[in-house]
Formats: sequence, C-alpha cells, structure tokens
Amino acid sequence: MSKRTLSGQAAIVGIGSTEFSKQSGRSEMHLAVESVLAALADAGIDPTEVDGISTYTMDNNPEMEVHRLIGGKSLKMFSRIHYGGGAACAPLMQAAMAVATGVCECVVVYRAMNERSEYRFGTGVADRPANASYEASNFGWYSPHGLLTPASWVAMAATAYMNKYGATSEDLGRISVGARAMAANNPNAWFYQKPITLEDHQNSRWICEPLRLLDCCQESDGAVACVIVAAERANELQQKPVYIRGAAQGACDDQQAMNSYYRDDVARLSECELVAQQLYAQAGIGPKDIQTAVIYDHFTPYVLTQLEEYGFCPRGEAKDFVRGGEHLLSGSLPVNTHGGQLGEAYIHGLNGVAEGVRQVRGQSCNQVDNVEHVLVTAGTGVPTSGLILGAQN
Amino acid sequence: MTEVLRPRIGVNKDTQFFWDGLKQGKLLIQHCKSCDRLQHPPGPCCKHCQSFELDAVESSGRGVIDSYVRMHHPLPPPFKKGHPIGLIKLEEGTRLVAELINIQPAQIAVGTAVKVVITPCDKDVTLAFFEPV
Repeated sequence: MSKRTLSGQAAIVGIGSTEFSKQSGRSEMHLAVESVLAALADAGIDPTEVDGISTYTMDNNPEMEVHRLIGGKSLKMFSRIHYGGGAACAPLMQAAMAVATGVCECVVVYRAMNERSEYRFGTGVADRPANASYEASNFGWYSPHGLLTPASWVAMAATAYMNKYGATSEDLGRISVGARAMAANNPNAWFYQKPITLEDHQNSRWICEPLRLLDCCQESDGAVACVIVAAERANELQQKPVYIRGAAQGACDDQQAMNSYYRDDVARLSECELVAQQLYAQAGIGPKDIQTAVIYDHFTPYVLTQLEEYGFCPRGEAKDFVRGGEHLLSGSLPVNTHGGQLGEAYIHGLNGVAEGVRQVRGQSCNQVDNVEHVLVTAGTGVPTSGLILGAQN
Repeated sequence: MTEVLRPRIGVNKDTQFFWDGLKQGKLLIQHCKSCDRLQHPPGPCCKHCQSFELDAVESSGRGVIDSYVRMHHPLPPPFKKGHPIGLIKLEEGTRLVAELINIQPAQIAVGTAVKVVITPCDKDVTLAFFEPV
C-alpha cells in the first residue's frame, strides 16, 4: 500500500439539514439549498467560498444549480457518484481528496429529496421502460418474475443469510426495535417518542418474506449537507473539527447492483469487507477502536451482515450480537444513535454521516461517552462506501 | 377485459439468445468456447477469461432452490399475494431467478429440488418457471 494517505487531511466542519417529513411542501432544490446554507452557517463559512460540490446519483438537483443559487463564484470540482445510497459516504471521499490535493478549498456535499411526496423508491421498477440499455436488460432477469422492488432484492439475499446462519425474523426485529429506541430520543426523527416492541415488529405485515414492514426503512422528504475543508483550515473554524480518518469505496466478488446472486456465497457482502479493510488500514485502527457506528439500514438484514463484514463480530454471529443487545445505547457498540433510516429518516445515508459528526462533536441526542472514532457505512447490496470519522487527525 | 401483462423484458445483443432460446423451449446458459466455463447472466465476453468467443449450452433444467422470497407488497397484477420467487442453482452450476409454480408452502425452502417449466406468458414474453421435481 502507498505511504501517501488521505487519512486526517480533511475535516467535516459544518452540517445542515431540513426537517424530515413525509410532505416537505417545497421543491427538492429548495431543500438542497436550505440544507447547504445551513451547513455553511454551521461552519461559519461564506457561501461564496464554495468551490467544490459532490453528491450521488438518484439526487435530482444539479450541482451547478445548487452552486449558482447559494451565490457560489467559482466551481472547480463537481462529481456525482453512482449507485444511490451505496455512494452515501463516497462524496465525502471525493471532497477529502479535493481539499487534500489543493484542487478545492471548500467542498459541499448534499442529498435532497422528496422521496415520499413526489416519487417513491418502494413502489419498484414495474413501469420502467424495457430497452437495450444495460440497466433495463438487467432488470429483465428479475422484473418479469415479480422481483420488482428494493425490498424484494434484499429479501432474496436475506433468506440465504438467515438459512445459513440461523438468524430469525426476531433477530431482524431487534435491529428495528433498537433503531426506534434511539429515534424516540431524537426530536428530529420522524418516529420521535414512538418506540416499538419486538411484538410490534412481529405483528407488522409482510412486505416481501422474510421482510416485514418494520424491517424496511421509511420513505422521507428532506435534505442533509456537509462542508469539508483541509485539516489545517478546520482548526481555525468555529466547530470542533471532525477529521476524515478513512474514506473508501468498494465493489468486488461478482458485484451486481442489488442482485449479487451469482457470487459463490450469496450470504456475503464482500464489498463491505473491501471497504472495511481500506478504512481500518487508512485510520490505523481496528473495529475495537470504534465507539459507535452508523450502519446503513435501508433493510434490517443487511445490518446483521455489515456487523460481520466490518469486523464487529465473527461471520454468522451478528444474531448473537443483537440478541445480547450490543447494538443498543447500553451495548458495546451503540448503532444508529440518530434512529437510523428506520427511525429518523431516509435521506439516503447522508443523515447518518451527519450523526457521525454529531457523535464526534458530542452533540448527539444519544451521545456515547468518549467518542474517538465513528464508523459510517453506506447502502448495501450495491457497490458501497464508508467513512471513519475521528476526533483527532 | 384486457389481459394484464407482466413487466416487459429489456433485451440487448448479449442477452437475445437466452430469450430466443426460451421461445424455442430451451433454457440456455452462455458458454465460453475458450475456457469451457459457463456464466449467467450472460455478457459480451467471458467473465473468467475475457474471451469474446461465446456460444450457449442447453441446461438440463434441473436444480435446487438456493434462496427464495414470497412477495406481498406492492404487487402489481398479474402477481398474487405471497407470490413465490426462487434463486435457482442449476445442475450445471449457474444460478438464475425464477417464479416458482405448482409448489406447496412447505416446499418453498432452501434445498428443494426443482425442474424448469418453460411457459409462454403472452405473445412477447416466455419465461423459465420452476416447479418441485
């Protein structure tokens, strides 16, 4: 591995968001600009200084328009990372690389969507046009048979995982109950003061067996943004710097987008292990040095798999980890202290990055003691990404 | 009453042979003439050796359920509540996703032996379904 490293060269110095709702009542561009301006105000940086922007696909707001509307002057780097939520941490990597190399001075990352009131991912792809493009042809292997939604694509991998390791629907429920307990303490969460029991989970209707309604994240309207500058500059700003100690993307092992059904072991998320190895190597730490983690929870089964791929328990033992309550605020690794996408909101993972920042700053609604390092992961089943955020560089 | 059609199939030059095969009653698997290995889904070249010299072999149509789901919501017609879909591992070693038919709930399980039933669904779409052996 190269001695040159990205670790510690950049910091997140501002975060901003809108409220999280089911009906924002304003345009997605409005949400984008609002969250970006809030993040810049949090950082104490004038919008005219923004010279880089990165977001990820399935966001409908062009980078240049966001930059124009915030009053930006010169945009020198703009990028948009593929694979939707799988890219949730990747724009932070782009931002860190841009400020570390001197390409940019101040990069903004955003995700803004009316994914409940204006369009819904959960309704699936039945109406997508069938043409000769790679993506449309690829849906041809699944859609005609009725495998049409993100929940169904994940469910197919989940059955294989649960069958192999003996994880049960109750184990999936423990993830959901944990997330809702965290959300219950978070006034910004959609499910604030609305915890659930394992019985509630078990009584919730099937969406796609083995997934119940309460195994599926919300559909939300809202936006989140972050501001990234070089580490030297971060020390001069008003917020406690949150250093990017590791930032990585991963795709491997016969990778498909949501349908990696052809790899030797369908129960694996090998791309998460690839991200984990890079993150720990960059940061020079291991899983035991992580005090709290934001584990991408679009659907509960992949939280179990990620706990294993990121090294918090041996393969197949995530069910025991959650049965022991290790993912709760009282456990050894509090997970998704904002309530996750099951409990806070589904802002495609960027709200998880913001929670990682709050944990390092000491500003979480479910604050963990003495946080030195936070792991943040991104959407799974697709090519993915991750971050290690740190209090020191 | 108009017939409710399944979602249409996107086809390209790499996948055309598979769908043409089904219309002729054959379940085909892409085969590499250079390294003699199989792959599904098909592509323009062999994922093992990168050869573009590809043809197809006919599957025996026998396999086992490697994984499965039962779809409940949302479920556009013509699919019905609890609709079973399997990830089938063929005898030849490749996997494919397919609707399960003529199957009892207890048989919808990992390891159940199944065989292909090639089924014309409408004038444009013919699919490989699987049923218990």
